Amino acid sequence: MEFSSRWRQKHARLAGDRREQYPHSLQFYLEPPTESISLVEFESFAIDRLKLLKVVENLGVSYARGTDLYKTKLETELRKLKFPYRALAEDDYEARRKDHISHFILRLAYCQSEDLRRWFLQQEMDLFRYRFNELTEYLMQKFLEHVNLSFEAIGEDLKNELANELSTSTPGFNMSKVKEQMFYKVGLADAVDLFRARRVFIKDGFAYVPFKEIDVLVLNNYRTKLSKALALTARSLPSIQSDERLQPLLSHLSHSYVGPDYSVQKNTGKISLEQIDALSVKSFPLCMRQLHRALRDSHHLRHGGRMQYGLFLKGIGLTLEQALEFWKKEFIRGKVDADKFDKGYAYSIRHNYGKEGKRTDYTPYSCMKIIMSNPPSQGDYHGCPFRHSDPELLKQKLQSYRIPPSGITQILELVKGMHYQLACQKYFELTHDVDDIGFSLNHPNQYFTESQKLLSGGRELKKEFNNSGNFQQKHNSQESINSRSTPTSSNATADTELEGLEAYFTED
Amino acid sequence: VKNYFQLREFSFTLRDDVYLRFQSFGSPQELERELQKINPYKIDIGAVYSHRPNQHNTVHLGAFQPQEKELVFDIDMTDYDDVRTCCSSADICSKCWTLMTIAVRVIDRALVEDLGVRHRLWVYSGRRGVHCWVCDDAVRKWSPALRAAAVEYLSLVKVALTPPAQHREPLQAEFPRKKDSAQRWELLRGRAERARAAGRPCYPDWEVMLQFCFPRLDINVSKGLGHLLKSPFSVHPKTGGCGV
Repeated sequence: MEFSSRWRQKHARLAGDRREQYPHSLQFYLEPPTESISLVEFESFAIDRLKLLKVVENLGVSYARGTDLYKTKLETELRKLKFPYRALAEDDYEARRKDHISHFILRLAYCQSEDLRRWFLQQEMDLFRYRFNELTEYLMQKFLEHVNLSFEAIGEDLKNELANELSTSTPGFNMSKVKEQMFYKVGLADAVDLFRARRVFIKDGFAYVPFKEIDVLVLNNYRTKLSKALALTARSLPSIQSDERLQPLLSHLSHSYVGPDYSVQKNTGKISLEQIDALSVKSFPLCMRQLHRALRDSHHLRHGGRMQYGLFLKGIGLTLEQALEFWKKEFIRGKVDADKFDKGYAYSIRHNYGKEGKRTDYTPYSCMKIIMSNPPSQGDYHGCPFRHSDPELLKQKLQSYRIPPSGITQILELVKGMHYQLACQKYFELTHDVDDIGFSLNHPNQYFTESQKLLSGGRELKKEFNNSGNFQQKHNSQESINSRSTPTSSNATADTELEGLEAYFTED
Repeated sequence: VKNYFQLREFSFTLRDDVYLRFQSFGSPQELERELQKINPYKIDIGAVYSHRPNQHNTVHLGAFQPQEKELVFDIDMTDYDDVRTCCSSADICSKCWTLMTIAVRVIDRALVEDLGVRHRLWVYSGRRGVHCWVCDDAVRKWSPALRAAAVEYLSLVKVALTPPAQHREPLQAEFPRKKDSAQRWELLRGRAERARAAGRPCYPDWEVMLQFCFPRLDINVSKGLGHLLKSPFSVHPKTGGCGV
């Protein structure tokens, strides 16, 4: 009797043979998990994977993928969060199970919109690429067999016949390299990225791919499968959302800020204190401009304002020494004397930089966090002006900043519709005199970075294609400049249950 | 595929710019009758869908999808305006049409030898270009990504044309002495060939040739499965020319 591998897996699950169920540390997530798990495990698995994907995204921003530093840091994170790293054979079952289940849970949360799907797909692909490339050649072959992607290697005779073409058409492959490496004959559909960029020899509808580029093919395949799966999942969403136990968690997961956290400052020390006044007018989002103004005027800020503004300044590159000097100079002008500053306020600034107490390096607040938590009271200047200011006062402030009346009207409309981040985007457009902000705003430091980029001429304008002959389709070839556009559901009605979950995301 | 003809989308443009999409017919005879009745100004052909296009409103959202379509290319003479001096925009003549011929040959070779295509129809668009309809079974099922990749594969980035420094001055000195562009071209080519024969890499002549003659494609025409293209063998509304 011949048993198929699928039968063996099912049977293994029932018989409790855990190794059969996850024969590889890597998988394509083709079959959803069928066991029962507790809600606690459901939640913790999901959160851990989200943390992992955030790290994947951040590392991708800060380091070139594939470099040693990138790989070491990602491996550390995988181990910390107890996901599979390196293709360990034995005690990996728990990690593989967690990997499997958490992926499927996040699919539920991230299938809901185009932005969310795109973000999820991007991070999962980066994660997969890393894990695949960490496999040994032998394990790669075994994995490819397992997922029925055994690409056909061409024989020596054919390779010799094509040696010249292979060498001239494959970048980085001289004749000797062609001779020593395996080449695979695959259909064009399997090698789209390589074919499009002319990185492989093609003939008669087939591409001849060197072993070195196999990961591109595998990733291609993975992307196609995951993309389809996400679209399918989105269609079955209504039934999932009706489950009261899951709905709050899933919606919180996709609400949380998942963009770069600006804790790795590439520009540390590049800003001088003298520049801050001018920068606050040109490149600060309205919330930070307001905080800076209040600080200058009253020589003081309360705790909420110190946190929001202080972390923002850290994010734009202020060193600890600069921060201490900045706050001290200002506070001394007020009612605070030098001694009191050093004893009290200095401590908390050092705390923000991770030099005291828990030594956690705090991350600057995202728009989501500023809008949804810790609303300001009388005498506070933190929060989001579009969310927390009285519309009349907001209008006056914008007028004093010489925003044109038509622009102010547009902003107020957006505020009325509770689109606070869009209102801020409009503020960006009006103060920078551009038609289209060119990115999706999710973080004050992102506002600053983009503003600086624009003012220093380092950004191309977004072009809209409109093929006049094509009445039948809306060709939307807009390419997002910030390809890591962070997806958030723009439902700004605060859910107080979010507080507990937010705690997972403030510190890294 | 059963009902292949019935699932094919046609679109008609009527005289007063009324545009009818998602037309489909039970048989070629029915199409013929409808054509005679309506007498459209312009006829376009679209994809083969999952359901009869003329019933697409009865199908719930998301289920009505294009299943297959020929891979099409559109080469438009106006894309060559920067390298032709005899005509511009919608005008064509036998001189600049040569550029079109070259483009067709380049693409055709690539289709057959590189992409393994067998069945293709090249047809005059009726006004200022040509269309190519690739009909192989497998290719009809290609995804938009694969179609876009094919166009990118067939496209060449424009490179700035500057001959290497040591050639520029003597060429500039001699150019005005030559009677016409043909002689100037011979001069440039001669210089380049001699340099190559002497072992120096020097390709300004090839760069000029590529710049002028390499096919210029519109990716949007080829990419989408739902895209509609003017039907071969139909009359072009603006010129009265027939696409063959």
